[in-house]
Order: sequence, then C-alpha cells, then structure tokens
Amino acid sequence: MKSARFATAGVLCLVVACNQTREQTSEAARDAPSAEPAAPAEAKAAAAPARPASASTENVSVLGPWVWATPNPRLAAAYFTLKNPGTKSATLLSVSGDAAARIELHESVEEDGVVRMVPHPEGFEVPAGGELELERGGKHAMLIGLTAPLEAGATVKLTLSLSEGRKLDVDFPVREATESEESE
Amino acid sequence: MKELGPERSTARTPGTPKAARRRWFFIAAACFGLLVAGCKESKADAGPGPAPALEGQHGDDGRFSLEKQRGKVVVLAFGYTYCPDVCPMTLATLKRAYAALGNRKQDVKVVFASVDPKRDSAKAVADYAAAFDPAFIGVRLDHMESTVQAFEVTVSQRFPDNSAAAKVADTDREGFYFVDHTGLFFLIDRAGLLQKKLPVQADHQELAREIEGLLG
Repeated sequence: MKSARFATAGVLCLVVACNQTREQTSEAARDAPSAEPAAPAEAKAAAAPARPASASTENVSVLGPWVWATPNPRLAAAYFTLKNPGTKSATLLSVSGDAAARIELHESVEEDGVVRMVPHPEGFEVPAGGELELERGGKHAMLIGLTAPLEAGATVKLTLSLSEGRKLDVDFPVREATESEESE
Repeated sequence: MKELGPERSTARTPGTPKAARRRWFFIAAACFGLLVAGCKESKADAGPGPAPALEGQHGDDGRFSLEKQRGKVVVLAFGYTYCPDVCPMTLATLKRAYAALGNRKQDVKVVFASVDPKRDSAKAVADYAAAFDPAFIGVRLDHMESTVQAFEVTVSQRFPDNSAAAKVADTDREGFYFVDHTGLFFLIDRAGLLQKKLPVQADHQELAREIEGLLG
C-alpha cells in the first residue's frame, strides 16, 4: 500500500510536470507570432513626433494603398495605412466606390485557432500622433460583389470617409493574390 | 495502521534491504515508464495519430482521397473562396513554402478543402487553389461536417449583423455570409500520420522547414 501511495504521488508529480511543459510550449508558440507585428507598431507610435500639429483630420494622409484581388472574382480586400500627425484622434468611417456593390470595414481575428471576420460598421480609430494600419490578416476593407473583375496592374478608385466630413479620393493599385513576391 | 504492520515485520527479516531496493527500483521504473507514456500521450494531442479520412471532388470530374496519398507529404488547409483576407493569405504562404521546396515538391501535395460547400462548387474551389499554384488541389468535401469534425476543425456560418447580407443578395444570388473556421496548416507524413498543426500565422519559411522535416 505504501509503495502504491508513493507511486501515485510520483505519477501525479510527473503528470503535472508534463502538462506544465506543454502549456509553456504552447504559450510560447502562441505568443511568438503575435509579438512580432506588435513591436513595430509600438515603435512607430513612440517615434511619432510630439511637435505641435493640426487639431483636425486635415493632415491625415494615406500610405501604401493596394487592393488584393483574390481568384474569386466577386470579392477583394483593400489595405492601406492612415497617418494622423494631429493632436486629435480621427475615425475612418467608411470606404466607398463604384468597384463593388458594397464595401465594409472588417477585421480578421484569430481565437484558439479559429479565424473569424468581425465587421466594424462603427469604423476604425486613427489615433492622434499615430497610425491606423489595414493589412493582411487584420483590419481591411472588404469589397463585396465586384462590379467587374479586377486585373493586376489596374487601379481602383476608392473614397475614404473620415470624421469631420473629410473625404480622401485614393487610387488603389490592384495586385493579385497569387503574386508570390508579396510579403511583409 | 493495519497496513503498515506487515511491512514492519518484514523489515526485521534478513532479506529486507534487497527486497526494499527491488521495490524502489520497481517504483522508479514504473514512474519512468509512466512519465514517458504521459509525455508521449500529451504530444499526441498535436500529432502522430493517423490522419482522418478526407474525400471529395476536385474540379469537374476529379476525385481526391487523402488515403491514396501515402508516400507523399500532404499539407492541408481548410478555407473558402469567399474569404478575402485570411484564406488567400494562407494560400499565398503555401505557395511560397511550396516554391521553396524546389524539385522535392513532387513528393508534396498541397490541399485546400472548402468549408463552404453551398457557395464553393468543386470547380470553383479547384480553380481557386490552382490560381496560386497549378499543382494545388482544391477539394469540395463529400461530407464536410463529419470530415471537419474528425480534424477537430470548427466551422460555423455567420450572417453579418448589419444589413449587408440583404443588400448584397441583390447582386450576388447566393447571398453573403462569413464562414468562421479553424485556420491551421495540417501536416501529414508519407505514412498518413497527422504529424503537426501549424497556426495560420506561420510564415512560409517555417512551413517549408516543417515540410522538409517530413520529407526526410
């Protein structure tokens, strides 16, 4: 009986030890990929100059716009970065254009391995002195019901509506999802 | 107290030290055995059991069966063609990983299985996967629900809360909805064992490394 008790205690310890190792590894694995993209964003925000800036959305500018044409001719996603050097936060309210029946702001979210798309009808914040990044695997504007198939090399005209009634007309170059060189 | 009695009495016999040592040795061996078994078992969560069956239609008249791929390394991802962001990203990662394999790619099959049989025809999913690489196999599963369940893949259709579904239905006969799904890369070895699951964020280099590891 004594030996049985010892054995039970020993096994319990070992099982706990095993499980702990496993949890740590899986945590590390989970953290590893997410830690990478977070770092540059923080660095950029911190590096944003603290010099006096406009208090309106007037100076919000668009960087690196592009549309990702997937092999499904009915839809596509648009990506870009909004830079807000001002002292007041702005909001990207919507994206519109003739290219699609409907354009919505979405965010791809991964939770426990499950990928979900979360609509953001309220828009996205462009923080004061910071940036809003719409990028693959994250926030994006989804073009639903394309009026015509998109061709790589063409451009799509989209209008970005910001808070305070500001509108930005932007030419989005089209890239195919199958282009192999695209990567971060 | 009663149980301890016999132990005490045997402790006085001359053969005791040996017997005790033997007992301890037995306990230690049993513990070690259990440790190994326990750790192996926990690893098995992610791994090396046989991959579940997966069968479906590939293109207009092609058939695909995972069981018939023995001898090849199979990389499998689930998705749907109405997914504008994560699924093309998954396939773009696969494309780059596959390209990095050079001439070893002939021993690798890349499979994209649709979790949206309502909108994705066998031809649509085959064309979609092939647009990334002509060798990629897009499959419309025969039994989507039982297959994804066997792979422990979650699939749920969700109509957006806002009015998009209704408005888009006018221009898109099939209506519009999201399909939330498990976004993992499943790596199956030449013997048909499910060796590894990589998260959707895995980059092409990591994926290529893991595939090469299975190619041996």
